[in-house]
Amino acid sequence: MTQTNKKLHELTIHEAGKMLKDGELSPVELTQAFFDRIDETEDRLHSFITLLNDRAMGEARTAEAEIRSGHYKGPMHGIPIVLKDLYDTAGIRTTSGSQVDFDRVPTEDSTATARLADAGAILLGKVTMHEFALGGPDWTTPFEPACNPWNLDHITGGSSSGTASAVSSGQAMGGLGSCTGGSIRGPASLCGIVGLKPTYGRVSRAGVVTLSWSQDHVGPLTYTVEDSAYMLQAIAGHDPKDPTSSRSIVPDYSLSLREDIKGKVFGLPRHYFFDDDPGVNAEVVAVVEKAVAELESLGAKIEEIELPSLEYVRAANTIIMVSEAYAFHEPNLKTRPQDFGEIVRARFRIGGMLSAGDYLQAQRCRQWSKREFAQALTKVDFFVTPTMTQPAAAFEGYDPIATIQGKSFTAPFNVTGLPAISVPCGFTQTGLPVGLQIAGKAFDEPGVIQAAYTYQQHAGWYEQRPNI
Amino acid sequence: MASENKPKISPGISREISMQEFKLMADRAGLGMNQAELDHLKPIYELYMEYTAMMHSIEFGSEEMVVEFHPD
Repeated sequence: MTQTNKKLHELTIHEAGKMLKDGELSPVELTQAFFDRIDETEDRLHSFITLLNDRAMGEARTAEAEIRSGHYKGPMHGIPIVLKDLYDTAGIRTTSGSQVDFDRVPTEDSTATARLADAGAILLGKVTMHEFALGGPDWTTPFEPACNPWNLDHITGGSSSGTASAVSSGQAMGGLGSCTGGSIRGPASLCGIVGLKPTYGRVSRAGVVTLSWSQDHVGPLTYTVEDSAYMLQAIAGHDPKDPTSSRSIVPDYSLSLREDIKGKVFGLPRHYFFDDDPGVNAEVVAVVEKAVAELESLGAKIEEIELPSLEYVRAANTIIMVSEAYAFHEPNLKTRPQDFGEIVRARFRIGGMLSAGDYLQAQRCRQWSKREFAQALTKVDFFVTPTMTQPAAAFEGYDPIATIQGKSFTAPFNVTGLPAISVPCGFTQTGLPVGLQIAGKAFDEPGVIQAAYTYQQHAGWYEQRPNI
Repeated sequence: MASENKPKISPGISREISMQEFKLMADRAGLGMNQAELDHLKPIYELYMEYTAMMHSIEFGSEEMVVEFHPD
């Protein structure tokens, strides 16, 4: 227990960071508390593929010595984190959740891995994921699917499934996911935590196993908005190893951690996200409508807007995704297809059967959507929507085909590359979390963070923790 | 297409595919699937055909593709 009367594994990065900086808490004590928590819960959650106990304790001792000697590096120094198992880690197996890469041991860290290490973060382990960041829980892959800490009979969402279960359950203070159609915000929403997908190019993809070069994004999952801001600060910035990396200056995201959305205009595309649709859960929409009303009560202006391309964006996202994935995975698909799980093998193969014309039309749709969203953002500051169409589904009866049908509320911001965050905004009557999505202009992570932080501080859902 | 214009959207194109056509496409892609695999994949592929039909239903005019090549 701490002075805040929270257990150590319940502290946020923000809270622990202050204590570590002031010498009130040791990185060694903190890291051990997380391994104790993992021991206590992992048999029910299945978050981890690789645990790094000895290595992490060594890193914690180093961090402790650095802080004691006056070399405090910042908010991530001494903070225990996890990485989705597609971030390359030098000398540590990186499986992408697949038999294909079961024994793959990279020789170099991904840029994001290295930057978190430079910031002093402690790597607890590598966490499970949907195979190659696509599909859903698949029992034909070597790794048990992660379970939702709010209800163990339900999925976490994905593909950053282990990151979400680990952070939500208090097995880690934060972690990195990756996102091609919603794989950061989706599991964050379904597990009651924050997920931040930055602008395309804001964080380097170098050393992160590819699903779709033009749509993959790197970002954090944490308990609070401020914690995501700290993690983003550590990993953002230009990287010559990533040809799509932006050279735009990285602002100080901590300056956005203040409560003020007075006069900000939130565009609400009701026709796609809120209107009756058999594929959209009415209870989720009702919870989010309430959150939107709270934004308004905080001084925001809500304006309904029309974005006709939304009806087509999910199709474009899917076609681009499987086409690029096929190009990346073609050699293994042809020589060792049996090593892929059933779900991913099928979808990647379809990528090989689509035509160049299909792919190019999808890219042209993307351009239409990008321009349409940019035009809308000259009139509004943000878009506000539900993060997901449904709460977390039960494992029993789970249909992976359902994940490629119907609307996607997250994919529009992968297709357009705009920054988007999911922040908890309530629960269904059965106790499953619901997320509010706020998206903004390209590289306006500061605005998105400030809007989400303002809502978070007002609503206070981050104080809820699953009983596991 | 002038950048300020919206694309014209035609009614979705209905597409059907026979197993013979599907096998031909799979073989052309070099996927080497057996009949059981083809039987499993065809209905999933047909779901994706709805997406490709949506893309081809949009009249983009002179709209360019978004990915750009930077020679530097």
